[in-house]
Amino acid sequence: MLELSNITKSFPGVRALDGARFDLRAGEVHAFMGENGAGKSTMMKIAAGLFAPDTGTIRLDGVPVSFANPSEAKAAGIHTVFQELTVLENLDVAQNLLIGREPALFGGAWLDRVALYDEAAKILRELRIPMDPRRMAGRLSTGQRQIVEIARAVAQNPRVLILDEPTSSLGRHEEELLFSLVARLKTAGTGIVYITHRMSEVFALADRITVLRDGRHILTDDAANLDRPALIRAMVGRDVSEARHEGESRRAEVALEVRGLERGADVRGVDLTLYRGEVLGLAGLMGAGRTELARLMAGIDRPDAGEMMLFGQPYAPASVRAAMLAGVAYVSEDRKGLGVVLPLPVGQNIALPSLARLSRSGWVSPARLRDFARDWMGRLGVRATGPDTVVGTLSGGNQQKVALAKWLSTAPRVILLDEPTRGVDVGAKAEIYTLIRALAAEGTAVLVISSELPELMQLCDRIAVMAQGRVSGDLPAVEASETALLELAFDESEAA
Amino acid sequence: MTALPPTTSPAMARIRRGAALLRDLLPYAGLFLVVAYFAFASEFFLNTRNFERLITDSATLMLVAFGMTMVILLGEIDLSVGAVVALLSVILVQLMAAGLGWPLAVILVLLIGMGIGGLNGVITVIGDIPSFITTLGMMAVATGLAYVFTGSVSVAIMDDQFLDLFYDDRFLGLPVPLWIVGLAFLASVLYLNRTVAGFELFALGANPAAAALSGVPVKRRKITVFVIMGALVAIAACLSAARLGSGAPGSVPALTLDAIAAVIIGGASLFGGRAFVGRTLMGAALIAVLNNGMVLLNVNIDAQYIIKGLIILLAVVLERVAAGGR
Repeated sequence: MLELSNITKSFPGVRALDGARFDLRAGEVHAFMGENGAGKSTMMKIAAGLFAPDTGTIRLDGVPVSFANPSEAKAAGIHTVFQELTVLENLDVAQNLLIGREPALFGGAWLDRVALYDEAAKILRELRIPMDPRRMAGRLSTGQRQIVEIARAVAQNPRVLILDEPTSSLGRHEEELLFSLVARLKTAGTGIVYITHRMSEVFALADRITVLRDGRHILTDDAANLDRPALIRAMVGRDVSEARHEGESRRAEVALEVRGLERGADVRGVDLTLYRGEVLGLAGLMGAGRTELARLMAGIDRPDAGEMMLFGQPYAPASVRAAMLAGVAYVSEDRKGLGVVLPLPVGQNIALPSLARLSRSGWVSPARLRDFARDWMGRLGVRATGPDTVVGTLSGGNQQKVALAKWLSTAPRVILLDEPTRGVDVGAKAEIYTLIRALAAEGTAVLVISSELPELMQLCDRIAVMAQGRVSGDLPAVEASETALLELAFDESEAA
Repeated sequence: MTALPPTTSPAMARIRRGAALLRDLLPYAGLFLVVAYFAFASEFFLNTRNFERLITDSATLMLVAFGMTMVILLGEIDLSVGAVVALLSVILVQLMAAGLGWPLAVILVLLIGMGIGGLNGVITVIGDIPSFITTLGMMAVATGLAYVFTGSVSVAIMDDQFLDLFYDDRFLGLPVPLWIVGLAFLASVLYLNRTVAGFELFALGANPAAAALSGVPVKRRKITVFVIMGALVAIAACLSAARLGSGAPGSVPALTLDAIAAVIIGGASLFGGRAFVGRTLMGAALIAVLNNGMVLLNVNIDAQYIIKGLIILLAVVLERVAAGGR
């Protein structure tokens, strides 16, 4: 139905696509995979009319087409849901769903509010989305916003729907909602392009899989003919060990101990012990309070009740700086929003928490700052021209390494990593795993928050699970199974 | 939240690079063009006496523009500077008229200036109020107070020692105001590019949330910048009073506009995270030459406002296009 062939596209200094091809049949889910920078997004932006290809042809139903802008692609029935959310927080769900095609009276001059809410309610009902059309989008969770975003595209009966990492911010309920939406679209004959880094989703959803590497087409095949290792080999061009970590947990010395920690409705009495030299995973559904707990440990928020002990000493950080001086560092899940400062150079980003240490009575030498940054860029393998490269121009994986370098350079004894591999490609992921294991081997206590259970099982010594603001249990990683962890995550017992 | 993923078509990228180049050239090329134009258009422009007057006249603007650079780097703005310069010059003159020696009067004015700046900062930061509202309020208060203190008439300065030092005297052949501007420039450059606080201001302006999570003492840094602004405004008030020989409540009507214009012509982003003292200096020189030249050519005051306004708009548009929408 949709066919892109022999597509080449260059940007100044980079050849993003080099004779790549992709074809989509009606009623299929076609997973589009590749490392970050492989050219997936560029390819799909060409299909969506955002970029024009340098060479190559796009055919829709066998007819060559070219789109000058996204509206033309939409008019042809090609809809895209990008990773970046475009839901407007100051409008309600109905207005967001029907934005740009609001029902109107008097020749389009007057908004028909009654029809607007009727129409929106009808869409939500048909798609079986339990959401109030009058709810302000600003009060929805990120996952719910993503659902609104997807529903907006689905409601326009697309012929082709491109989903760019749709599940990266979804909770489990919303994920199921999305999967059922995808199934409905399929039966209606819509072709779906599904871009994701999550293997389990690919094999659960996709009919066919295409892999791109360095802008070139590597393979297209039925999902049934492929398996995980084969896909990873195709994406990376080499074997990546996925062996689970042989967790002999070194429970010698307690690094951070949390007792009865509470804050508002998010953290409701957490007991947790983190040992020196271990990687502790923290699993849980969205809204279970994992990030909120980490923020308490990192001195960003103050607890309402409970206490913490750091290496046997009472620990109640009054600020991020206090936590940092005590040796606790937190790497945020929101890399672009909170982790790094995108318009600033790599060097200044890495040095930001360490400026006081790099200075003499308040004065900073730029040369010293650059040396310091260069050293840490080398240790973490940040791929950038130098410390003066602006972070915003780097790939997701490299940005994450900058965020990690920034905190590792403060020499933390306890490091809290919140979704350290979100939006990071397979190769960089493996590098980050190696790094985390090395940290633990050196005696650092590492807490990893992740929504990907296989990641936790592969990386951690031990996995604790949070449910509704409490720790509902923990398991050694070698004994953990997805079923066991999920049972803990769905734990609804009202423990005292 | 972005409306659309950033489009990076080659045509757009070319436009953006072009705008960035123009933005970066604007202070230098603009200064060159206006100097060349006025040198050609007015026989009075290109001579040593006019240039000296130009420099001493623009000292007030320069000092305020350096402070404004730091405020705008934070993504904030200070609309009260013009009114506070007037108020402080009135206070200075009254203090001296009351028999206080000039050194003590200057020190008191400096402290009051820092106090007013600190108040702007505290209300903005602790009260979480947009600085353009805070400082708009402060502007009205300062203007009102200036008139109350003087009874709406300007008061002449009788202290010749003060007038000599802050206007007429020379040190190593150069006018004292030029030395003061030079020192303030050097201090601002060093503060922004060589101190912990300065490095943190760039992060703070570009992404306050990320800066806070990195252990930057956000509130303290922001309030400090407003206090520095207040100190520079106080020194500017002393120079302004010495130049006019009096303290007049309505003495510097266009100062706020000119200072913001200088920073923006210097390529700063009004969204914070991007500002340069060096380019602000060029921007302020451009405005100063423009003011001086337009007076020499008898351009009427309304037309002067229109021309300066258009230059500001041009600079803002260039910066936005160069930054690529966001």
